[in-house]
Amino acid sequence: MSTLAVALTGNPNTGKSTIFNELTGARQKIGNWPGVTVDKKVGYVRHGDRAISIVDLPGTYSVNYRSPEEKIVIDYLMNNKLDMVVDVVDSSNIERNLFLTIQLLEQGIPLLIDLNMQDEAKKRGMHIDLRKLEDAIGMPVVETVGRSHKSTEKLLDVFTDTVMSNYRVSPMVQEHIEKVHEINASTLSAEEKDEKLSELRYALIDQIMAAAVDISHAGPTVSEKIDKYLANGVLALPIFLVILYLVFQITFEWVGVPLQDALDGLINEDFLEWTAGALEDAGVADWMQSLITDGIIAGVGAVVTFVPLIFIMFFLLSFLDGTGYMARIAFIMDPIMRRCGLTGKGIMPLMMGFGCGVPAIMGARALDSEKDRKISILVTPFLTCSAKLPVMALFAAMFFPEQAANVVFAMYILGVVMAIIVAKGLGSTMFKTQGSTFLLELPPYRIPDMKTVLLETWDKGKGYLVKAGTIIFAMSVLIWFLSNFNMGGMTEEMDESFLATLGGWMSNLFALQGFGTWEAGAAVLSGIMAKETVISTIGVLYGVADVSTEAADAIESAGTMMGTGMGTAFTTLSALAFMVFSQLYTPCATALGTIKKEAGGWKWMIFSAVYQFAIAWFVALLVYQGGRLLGFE
Amino acid sequence: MATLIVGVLLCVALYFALRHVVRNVKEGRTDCAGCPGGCHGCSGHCTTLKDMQKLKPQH
Repeated sequence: MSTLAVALTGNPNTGKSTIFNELTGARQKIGNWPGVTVDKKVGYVRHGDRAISIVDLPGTYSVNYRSPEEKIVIDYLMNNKLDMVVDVVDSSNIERNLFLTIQLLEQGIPLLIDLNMQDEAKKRGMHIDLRKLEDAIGMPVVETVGRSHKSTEKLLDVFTDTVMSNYRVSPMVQEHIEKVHEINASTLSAEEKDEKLSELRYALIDQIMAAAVDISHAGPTVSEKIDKYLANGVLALPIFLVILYLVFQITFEWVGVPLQDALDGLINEDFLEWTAGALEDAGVADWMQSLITDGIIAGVGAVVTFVPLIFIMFFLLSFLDGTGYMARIAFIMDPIMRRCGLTGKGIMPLMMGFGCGVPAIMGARALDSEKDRKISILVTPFLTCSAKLPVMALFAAMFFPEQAANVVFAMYILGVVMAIIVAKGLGSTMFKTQGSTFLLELPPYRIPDMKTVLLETWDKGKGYLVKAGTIIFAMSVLIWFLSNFNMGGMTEEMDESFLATLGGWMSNLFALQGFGTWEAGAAVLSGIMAKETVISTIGVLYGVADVSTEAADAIESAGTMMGTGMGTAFTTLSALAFMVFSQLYTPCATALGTIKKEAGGWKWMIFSAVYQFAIAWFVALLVYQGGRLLGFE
Repeated sequence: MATLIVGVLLCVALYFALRHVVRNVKEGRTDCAGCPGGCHGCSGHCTTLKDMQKLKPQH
């Protein structure tokens, strides 16, 4: 069996990742915004008697070595022996896409030009003559529709049937390349060369467009019409907030909670009772029964009951991403971000922070300037990641049963507002430099591909389940041990346990915030390992695995919890202060490790841990003491 | 006897859980949601920090 090495390149958001997934059956994340593919991905497919390896390169607008994506693309294309380089072009934006095509041809890289999204180009009234385009450029041209199986098969046929060495650039392109070489060899300054080269490329694009593309019937697209409202300077932000609010209502009130209650009953009633009975019948020692029911099932169960909420929220966010709306958020947020010294591009990695801080921190490398990267890395952990979500959901349901969704929504907003305020502060003090420019392409609105949305939801939510079965499980055992043992061996008095001692040290710090108990101190301390551990620790310490969030049940559950100790540990106001603190304090250990690597050393990691703790402490203090002054309890 | 059996099962489960956590730390991998570039379909694992490190822009 002979092999074939193919690389996919092209502008961001041209459907490369969709084509890659269709070709290889992989599950690469499809983002409807630029910069999703920050790494190259490799997949394999068999077609006839050929084994084809396909590499999906990051999307880039040019190859000038100015961003990490550009460097990856050009280094890969120049240093690897490839049988074929496929330039995936968004047909409806062919004029802009040809800029990269021409740059690649200048580098002597033969291209198979894949006119993707031809359906959208036709809808716009554009007509691209494939034969004329081939003649104008001198390279083979094929047309595809990203999600079509027929297109995928056709593309694989083209891969195996096309011999790239048979193709030479057209005389028009050859002449252009010679002029480029002349300019590069001249004594002009770098800026002057750039200017001349850009003029030359745009002149060639004009020639190609005139020869092969008819745009005389192109009118405004449906997306452009929708954007008149959704990306409107006045309406955009309120509409965005309404959409976000609806996401929370669906997650917490309409769909998520009934599912959560069902799972809660299954784990913390049926399964717990069955396990306790089985252990009792088998004659298992009391301490082992306690470890399994009060430690593992209470700890892991408390975390697992939030799985429906996590999956529903990720589904909704993935769905919005698939429609193309997420890219508008960068556009909407740009003026706000700019006032903070960042660009709208900075919102992209920040939005990943709603899933998990770790990839969001890594995603900051897509930003153009060192200043933007550092600020983004340092403020991302303020956002509400999926691990903080259960903490917010539990406390909101327990202490604000009638307003649970609104309170959680407010916590998300608090995270965003704090990130913006701190970015502004860092931008005007520690990282005082010029803001960078921001080029954002708004992709067309699309009906999301449900398979992609579901796969992405699973990919995101799966991590939460894996954590429940690994680190949360191990931490639940540890927390049970620490809360049931002291220097004298096993103790029935938790107040005399190792954990009470450790939590007691921490609790001294939170007396002014209203949650100065050793249990709260222990939960805060364990949360540094992984934020979900706050919930599992509470589950173990209070023996309250049944942390239902439905309003009516919550009151009842809250009553149970009150009786078992949580009610005496928190008032409504101190619970709010605890939520605020949990939202803002020191990132988890994995995020801290990532900050160390990405920001360039221990200094930034320690800074991040300390300054976030200090800010969280101070804001929680303001909430609690301010609330008391206003007469709340 | 029952306690011993349950204890052994628990130790095995704990061993695999801790092994996963230690491997994550060693390999710079994370189970968290929303990895950049997605979790690769072939392995189901997120892009490792080490992989990402290779791409780190020069400061």
